[in-house]
Amino acid sequence: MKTFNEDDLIAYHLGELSWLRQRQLRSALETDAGLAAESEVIAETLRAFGTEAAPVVDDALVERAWQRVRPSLEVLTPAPHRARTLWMVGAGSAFAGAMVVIAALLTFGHRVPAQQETANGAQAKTVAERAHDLLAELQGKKTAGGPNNSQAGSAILLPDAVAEDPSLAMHLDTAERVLTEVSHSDGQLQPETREQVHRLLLENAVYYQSAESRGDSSTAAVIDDLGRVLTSLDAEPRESGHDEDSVRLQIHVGNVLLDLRILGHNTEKHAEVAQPAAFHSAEKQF
Amino acid sequence: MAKDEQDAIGRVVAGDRDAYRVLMERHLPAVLRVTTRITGNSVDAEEAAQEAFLKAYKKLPEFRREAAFGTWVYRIGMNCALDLVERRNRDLNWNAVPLDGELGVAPVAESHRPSPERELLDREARTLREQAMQVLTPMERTAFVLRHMEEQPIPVISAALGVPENSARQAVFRAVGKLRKQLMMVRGSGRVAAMVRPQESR
Repeated sequence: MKTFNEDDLIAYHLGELSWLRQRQLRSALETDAGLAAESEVIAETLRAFGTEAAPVVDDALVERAWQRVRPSLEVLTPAPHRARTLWMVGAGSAFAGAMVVIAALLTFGHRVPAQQETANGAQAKTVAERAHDLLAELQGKKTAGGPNNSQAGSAILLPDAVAEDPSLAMHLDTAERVLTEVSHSDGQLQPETREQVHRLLLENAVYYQSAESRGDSSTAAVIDDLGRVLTSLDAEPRESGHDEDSVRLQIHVGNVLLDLRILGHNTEKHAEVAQPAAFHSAEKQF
Repeated sequence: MAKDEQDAIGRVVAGDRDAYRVLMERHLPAVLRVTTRITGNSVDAEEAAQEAFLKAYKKLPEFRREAAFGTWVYRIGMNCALDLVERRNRDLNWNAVPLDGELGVAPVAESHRPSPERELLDREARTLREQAMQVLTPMERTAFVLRHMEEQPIPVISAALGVPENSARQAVFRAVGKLRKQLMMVRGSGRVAAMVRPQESR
């Protein structure tokens, strides 16, 4: 007989289960009273948190919003004009670039062999692709290995600290989001991302100290690893993007991302293990 | 997309700033609804919605006319709200007026004028819900709000959060798990009736 957990029940109530799995769960609910009770608790939770009425947007609110936005609106230039400007800028840049190349050739008096140039281009493309492939592979490994597979990550993680500290959970969530963004983008970091990385790095040091002083070495190891990646990103050379250092950094980002996700998942599993007694006593109150 | 919207976009791009008001009037309710749900307070919700319309305006010349402007600005609104929540969480000095406060409470749509008793219960329910939502991280809160309240599919949520679909799905599951525990605690305090009303059942 198929077994179902809390995630399956949540997925069922949110309509996220496949048709087949839904059917299996429905028949399990008919025969398993405990599962049916847990299902009802989840349904009630969703009812309780799904009833927010929409805010009323009246004329006064629209007027207020418009008056705040209006002064910041600059007159836009029509698209064809922009396109022409862009074309002129592009042509100008190309011309300037060509002049620089010619000047360099004349100055240094030698040519880069065409074959070597092509090889470099191909390598740069492969490098970017390799980083993306690696992240995909890591995510695939996680899915295939299952969230409870402690072999999937380099560290065996203790989720207590995260479960008990919402600010640490939030820090890890934000880090995951930023690293995912970084690993899916090419070229140098955007200024706002760089700023976010710097802030995360500063916060990370505090969380690392805190985990160390608690003696929570597994959590500290993940945070430390995260810190290394953030430090590399924070100090990333502006022109980086396709060199070997960049690839190593992307590989490291991928590993840390995996650890963060396992940590998040294990936290929930840990909370589940600690919860049953409380859950069953609460169940009786329904 | 409606013809008058297309006309408005054309006029805005041609330099008529005031034509943008048509788009704002039409789509502000949906954007404000999602920003309110993500931020949890009306002050931040308005700020995020205004930021979303400003960003959309600046990118309007690049906007593909065959796409729906409403969907586009709604998604920008989601991102602005999430960014604002994360900024607020970093700024410990920020003390926005919560939904349960006397000031800045977003008026809510009702089909009829509720009795004072009903208003009191509604306010208590909002307070309890908002308190419970405080345990969620910004990512969990946004994922939950978008999936459950806004009924957005996982791929849309994943794109809004900038994380893989599986991470977005897990964030929703974690959120529901945490809220379930919060509901149990409220149940323990005997105030659950305010949160779960029989007529609200699906």
